[in-house]
Amino acid sequence: MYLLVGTAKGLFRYQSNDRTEWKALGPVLSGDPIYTSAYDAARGILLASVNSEFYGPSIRRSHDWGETWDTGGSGLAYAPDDAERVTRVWSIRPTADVIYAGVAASGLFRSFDGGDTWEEVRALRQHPTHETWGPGFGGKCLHTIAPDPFNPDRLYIACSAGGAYRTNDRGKTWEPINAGLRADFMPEDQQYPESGQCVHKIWVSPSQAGRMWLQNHGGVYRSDDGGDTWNDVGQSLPSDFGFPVVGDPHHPDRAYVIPLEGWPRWAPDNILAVHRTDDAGQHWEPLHKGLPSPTYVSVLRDAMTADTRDRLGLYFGTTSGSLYHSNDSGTTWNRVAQDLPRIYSVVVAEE
Amino acid sequence: MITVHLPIDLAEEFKTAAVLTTDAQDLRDLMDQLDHMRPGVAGWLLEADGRFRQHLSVFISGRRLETRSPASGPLNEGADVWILRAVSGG
Repeated sequence: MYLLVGTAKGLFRYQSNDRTEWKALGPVLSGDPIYTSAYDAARGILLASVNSEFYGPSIRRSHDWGETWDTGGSGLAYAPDDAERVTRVWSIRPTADVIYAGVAASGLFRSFDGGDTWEEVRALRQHPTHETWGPGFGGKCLHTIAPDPFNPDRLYIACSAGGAYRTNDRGKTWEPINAGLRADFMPEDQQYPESGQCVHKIWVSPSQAGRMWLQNHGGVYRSDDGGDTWNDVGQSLPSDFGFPVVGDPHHPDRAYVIPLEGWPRWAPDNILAVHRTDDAGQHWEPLHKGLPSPTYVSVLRDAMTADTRDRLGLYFGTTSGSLYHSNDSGTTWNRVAQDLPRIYSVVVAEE
Repeated sequence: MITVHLPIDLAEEFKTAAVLTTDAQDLRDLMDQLDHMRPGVAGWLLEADGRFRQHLSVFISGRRLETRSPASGPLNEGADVWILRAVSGG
């Protein structure tokens, strides 16, 4: 098993055979911001979003677990006369027949040839609600791409700010799925719009059709109907603000969030803790055994993930460059690395 | 003959020499020739609108182009083109 850690200054890799001892393989793509990465098992490649300040965004590929990388095919760009520009790649999601990529300014691309060439899924930005999209603090970005495991024609995306959207026809048409999601940065009488919410992350369960988890810019939500409706399940958390949300792939009622104060975006009382629910969000349990305290760090939207083992492995990285893992479903934590650059993303690659 | 100096890291990524000579007639032709020789390199240097990226610094025979200049315009015989990582990029 590999951990791929995207940071402000390169991609760091760790390898383990037992999920206890982690061997550092050293940084690659050094110097450039790596917002995210992905392991494409079907094609046997790693993909990394390299957002160079000098050379722009690209999705580069490796056939040797990151030792060497290509230059990224034809690249991703909007048309020359488009009012928006592609400035960053935020998300990469390989599927059996297509690889998707989310970019800033918020938009969706796909590749049918393994990343050699990319085309925009134009219907998304052509949706009439596109005018409600704007930038969050991280920019105007499409950061989440989630295929529906029960319906190959259905795909979910989320962007900040903009909200969550769903297609049931592989991208030909889209609908906003933000009913009941709060936009607390809007005037009081406009806090439940059709779109424009600052959704931070969504996670789609592979074990229960329609079950989704959502971390909002204020609010943790659960859906049981593929986003038609959302239930506010974060009210008992010390803060319902945060960035990542991760579900347990085997237990649809179990999910994990990392509460942060709305400002200055570190853990409430400076006690960094992962909070777990086992009952679909009715109750949350703080888990911080093995984590340092006090802390003054954030955990960004793509910086927590899980593996697929029965005894779930969880992994997260902080803005101060520490990387933690748990191999007992979050009950205890151990540090894998510290003093890395600011961590943007943590990805598990299981062979 | 035109001489072009590429950023060292870009040349390494695209497995080419950092200093090249070409018979390009103008900047657009130079970009096309580079991209023909190493597919994709123009996308690293230029935005979709055909202008150089924000944090690249381009000199032609000693004269610096304005930031985000279009990659077009004549190149005189013997011109020396430097494409550098701008200090503004980090």
